[in-house]
Amino acid sequence: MRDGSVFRGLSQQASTEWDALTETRFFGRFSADGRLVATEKVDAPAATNDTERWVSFLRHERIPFISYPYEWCFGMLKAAALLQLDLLLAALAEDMILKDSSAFNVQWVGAEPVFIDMASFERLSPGDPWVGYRQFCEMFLCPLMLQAYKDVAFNAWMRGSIDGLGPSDCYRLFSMRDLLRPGVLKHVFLQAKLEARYADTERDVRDDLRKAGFTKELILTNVRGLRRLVARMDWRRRESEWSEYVDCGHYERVDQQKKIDFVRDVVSMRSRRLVWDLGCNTGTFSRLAAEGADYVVAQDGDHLAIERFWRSLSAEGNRKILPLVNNLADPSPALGWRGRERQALEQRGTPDLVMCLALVHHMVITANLPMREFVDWLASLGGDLIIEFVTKDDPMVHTLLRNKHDNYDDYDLEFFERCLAESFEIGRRELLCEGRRIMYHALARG
Amino acid sequence: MKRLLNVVMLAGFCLLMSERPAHAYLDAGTGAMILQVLLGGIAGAVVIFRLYWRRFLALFSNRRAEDDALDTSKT
Repeated sequence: MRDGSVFRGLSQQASTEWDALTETRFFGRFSADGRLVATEKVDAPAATNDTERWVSFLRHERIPFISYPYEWCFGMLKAAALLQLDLLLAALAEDMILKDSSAFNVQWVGAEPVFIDMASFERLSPGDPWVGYRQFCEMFLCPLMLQAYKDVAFNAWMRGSIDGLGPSDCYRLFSMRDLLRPGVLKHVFLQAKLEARYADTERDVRDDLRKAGFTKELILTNVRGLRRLVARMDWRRRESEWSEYVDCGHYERVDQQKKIDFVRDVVSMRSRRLVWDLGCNTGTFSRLAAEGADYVVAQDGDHLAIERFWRSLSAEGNRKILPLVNNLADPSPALGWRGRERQALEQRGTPDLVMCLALVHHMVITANLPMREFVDWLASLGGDLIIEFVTKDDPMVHTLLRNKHDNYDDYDLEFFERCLAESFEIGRRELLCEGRRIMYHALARG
Repeated sequence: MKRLLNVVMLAGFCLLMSERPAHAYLDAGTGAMILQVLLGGIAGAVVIFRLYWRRFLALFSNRRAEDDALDTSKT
């Protein structure tokens, strides 16, 4: 990263592959519609020390906010898988191939997937199999099957292992009945068994296959089959706690309008670069924020709420709002080798406005976080804040406290305001629902 | 075509019948490579045939040798 652009050094081999890629027809087609990140070959960026190591450099258009597969909803992982397969089919048609299938190679501009790893493309060596097939199963197919067939969200599995979920583990999670579901017998059961069968082989199977006449047609048959399989997959859960929230009528119409006006007024005060909407549900207020911001990252721990939000954004081709599944009491940490391969949420760009509507009671009462801790964290993000506090008189808080001993002394309006005033300058304040809910516009202290 | 694919899948199962427990270090995806042939329809069947015909022949000739030995012992 230099001067707001992303540069990538290429070896001699990679540089040759890049030149081959730019001569294909599909490269122009996928770049033009934004499914390949805009990229150009450039001279060495100023002040680089790597000119001896690299023979050339690529400059990529910057992705507004980096996200990882364990933060995506089912539909997003499926869309990313289809993009991967469509690129592969297009590449094979022109005798190129994607040498890996990492889900981390796909990023998002709003609700639209974009492929970012140009160095994954290489010319196809005749007789070679698709080396990325196994990784495609680990990072796309098995996680999607787990959610589509077993109703288990893939996120924890993807966050638990940077390599995803392999066929051997996936097979152990499936029952005999699952073997009849589309693709399980072929891609999970057979692959798991073959992995075990050939794990200790000393043969050069790649060479054996080449000699036996392995062709591109075999890869095409498999990839076309996978594309049909993935396209048919669906996650059928219909209800969750939060996906129905908007329709539940927690607000009188007049209060809902007051809340909308409050958010719209603050958002329109000045243009914002990046807004985070924490606890966004199905995104009503994220959309308001997007009216006055370059980019909105909308986050919620409820997978179905994010799924619905993404589907509506995707249907309209939205490129300004990125919806992510994120439990804010346990946000994405830094992961991978020495914790440096994947960044923690806050390391990927901090917001200049944070919206935190009717969320505090969940953080303090449901997730047992101290009030001061939570407000301190919000302040540490460095942006202004729109926050809604729900008092203990509100039925929603009553619900949270049922079956619980109320030892949440810090969940108190006066204490909340004191914490807020310590870290922010409190601007506008407005009562909703006869004073049971209060909206604040809090400004970051410069 | 569909029937042939089934035959190919069956061939895959036959191969698995001889599965041995593996106590190996990390595999580079050999199983996944072979699976791509099994999933490859007619073209895959041809490659499988070429891959394994020598082994099948060897198996056959071994059996013939054993049978001959058995017959000799009977007489």
